[in-house]
Amino acid sequence: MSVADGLVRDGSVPGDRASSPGSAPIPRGLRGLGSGMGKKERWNGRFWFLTMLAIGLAGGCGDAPAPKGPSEGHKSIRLALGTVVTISTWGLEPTREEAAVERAFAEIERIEAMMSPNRSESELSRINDAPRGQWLQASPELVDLLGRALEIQRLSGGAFHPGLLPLVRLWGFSREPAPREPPSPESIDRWRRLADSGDGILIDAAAGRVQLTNAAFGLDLGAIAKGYAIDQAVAVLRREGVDNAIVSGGGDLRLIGAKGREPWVIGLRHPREEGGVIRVSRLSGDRAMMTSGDYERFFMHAGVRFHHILDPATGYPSVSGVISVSVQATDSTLGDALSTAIFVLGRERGIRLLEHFPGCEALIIEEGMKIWQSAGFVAAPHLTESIGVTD
Amino acid sequence: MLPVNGKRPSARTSWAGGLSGSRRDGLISTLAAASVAAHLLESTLPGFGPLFKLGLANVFTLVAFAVVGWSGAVAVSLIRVVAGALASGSFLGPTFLMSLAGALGALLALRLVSLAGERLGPVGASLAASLAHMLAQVVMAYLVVVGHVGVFGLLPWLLGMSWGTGILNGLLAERILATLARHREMLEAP
Amino acid sequence: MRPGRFLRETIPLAGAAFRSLRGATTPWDRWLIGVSAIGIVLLGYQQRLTATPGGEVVVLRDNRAVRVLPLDREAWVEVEGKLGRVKVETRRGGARLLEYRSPRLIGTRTGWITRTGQVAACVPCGIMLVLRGSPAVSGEGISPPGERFDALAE
Repeated sequence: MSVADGLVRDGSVPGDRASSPGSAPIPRGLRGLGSGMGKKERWNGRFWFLTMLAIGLAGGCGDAPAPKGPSEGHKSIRLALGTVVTISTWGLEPTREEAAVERAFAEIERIEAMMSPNRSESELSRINDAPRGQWLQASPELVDLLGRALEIQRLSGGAFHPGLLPLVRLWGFSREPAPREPPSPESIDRWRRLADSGDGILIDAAAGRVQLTNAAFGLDLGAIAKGYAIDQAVAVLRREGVDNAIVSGGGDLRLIGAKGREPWVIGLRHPREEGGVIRVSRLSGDRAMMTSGDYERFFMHAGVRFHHILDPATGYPSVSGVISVSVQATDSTLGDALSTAIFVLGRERGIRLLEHFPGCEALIIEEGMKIWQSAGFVAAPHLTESIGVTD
Repeated sequence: MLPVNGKRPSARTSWAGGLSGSRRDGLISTLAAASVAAHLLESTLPGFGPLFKLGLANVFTLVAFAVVGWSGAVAVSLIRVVAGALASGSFLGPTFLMSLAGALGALLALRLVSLAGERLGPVGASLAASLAHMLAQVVMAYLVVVGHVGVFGLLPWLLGMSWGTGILNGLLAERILATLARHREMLEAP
Repeated sequence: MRPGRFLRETIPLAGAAFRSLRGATTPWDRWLIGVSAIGIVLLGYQQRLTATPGGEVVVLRDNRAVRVLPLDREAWVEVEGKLGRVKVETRRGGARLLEYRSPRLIGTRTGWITRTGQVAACVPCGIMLVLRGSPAVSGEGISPPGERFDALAE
């Protein structure tokens, strides 16, 4: 029992606090297990640095900057936002870190409870379920986020769209079991005709009201709310006095601070090689890195890859030639929406969209592994090395 | 006497005495300079990646060991460590400590090799030094940087790599020494 | 290239390399090369023996630990997820969600997980596996081997 307890903090397992790492006398054999890893992972940034250093020095010469100062890191993993959410912090006492991370996860769960279209009791579902054509009161937070979404929709010429719930449901990418074939062309045509018949979403920011006007549209903030949740989690961490952290939701992340004198090291996934990394970004300070790829959710049908990023103009998965877009931005909310918009727009139009957003940088990978990156995108090439999956 | 091992002249400590003081000092400075250069060059080479360093600088330590003796190896090796660290700005940092530990470990091994007389050639000396170098670095890493016994789990891998680089460097040193021996008169001329 | 030709070309090459190695070494050198090689291999083998995979996999449902399975044997258990039963399989030093090829397991990092800190998840099932190492293998406070990135952007 005590072995599992290092992992659980919510009291679901009796006595978990009493035997959490480092508090109670745990038999030696169990101690390492209890605090070794789990929901609470401790790692030591020095270790791998050192390993590399030691190997680098195998012949006796080699220089690398050495880490200094406290180096204890923590990593907490949970299922949330429909994915695996990881919060890593650096250089904090375990007790402070625990409290801060707990609040950050609570914030993420609060936003998910408000903005998930798949939870019938969420505020978003309340709006979606209401009849079309009437003003509905909404919380300022939701109206604000929707306002930002509509702004990006406008600037992207509709490539990013926060109202595609009916179309997403038609494709069924979040359905269980996942789809194996596309919906009938007739059903998509029907949706398109309806969508073309009129505008979708109206907001009245001053009065805090939202209106859906067309049955073709329902709010699905999937391409922006994850970023918003990450931003909010980072804000909570900051309030709790955490200066060095990464909040990652299924590979979309925002980081603050650094690991002492070392930057955070982010591997960018290779869009076609399972477990491969194509670029390495060494980032510190305050930066979001949001990625949209056709490899995240997809199915193959008749030799064609049907991925989850839908083009509002056609009703089909986007065929812009782009297979992966990473955006480095000042915040995750914007980065999230931009990566989706650029994915749908394609390289040339995507680059033009990027120009509207100073401080945002992008790396675009097109079919055939053609890579374009803006001048300020922080990334170094990486020899494809296997990470993660072993067999 | 120039020792001969099979057909080729091989490196032993025995012709150290043949050099005059200033010749010897000149040779040591040359080797130390070459060693620092190799060290710096190698630290900028991306070719082998982060995983692998040949340690070419140690070849010159071996040459000094063979031609001048253990004291020569000490001089070249310590000059390399200090000058290399100063040049790359890591002086007195953890990297420097690791580097120093490795050098001292290797020198200790070379001392033992020299006690064994002329039985071990440059390849044997290089291998012993290389393994000791790695062992000392891992111990230093444990003491200074990591503080966890887990680091010793890597020892077989690290020693395996040192084994390969040690032999390779030894062969290189042997070639250099064979060439030097052919032009011995240059070193020994007054 | 045909194997015959390959051998004809490589064997003399290997022979030449061996002869040159022989010429450049003393018998003691060769003895040291052999003995140290054997020593290193034995050291590695001994570590492999003593460092039995003492790790374990923690099975979480809705972010709560429901099972902890040792990774020292081949075994499987079934865990009740939101979409029915999910099979968790363990082997020496690794674990996986057995139905990981199923299209149900969307948006996950899947397959065998073998390193401390690795995660396999069936998001819609609400089931997640997290691997914890043992002091013998990875040690307390040490990052999972191979985890060279603080985070993965994907």
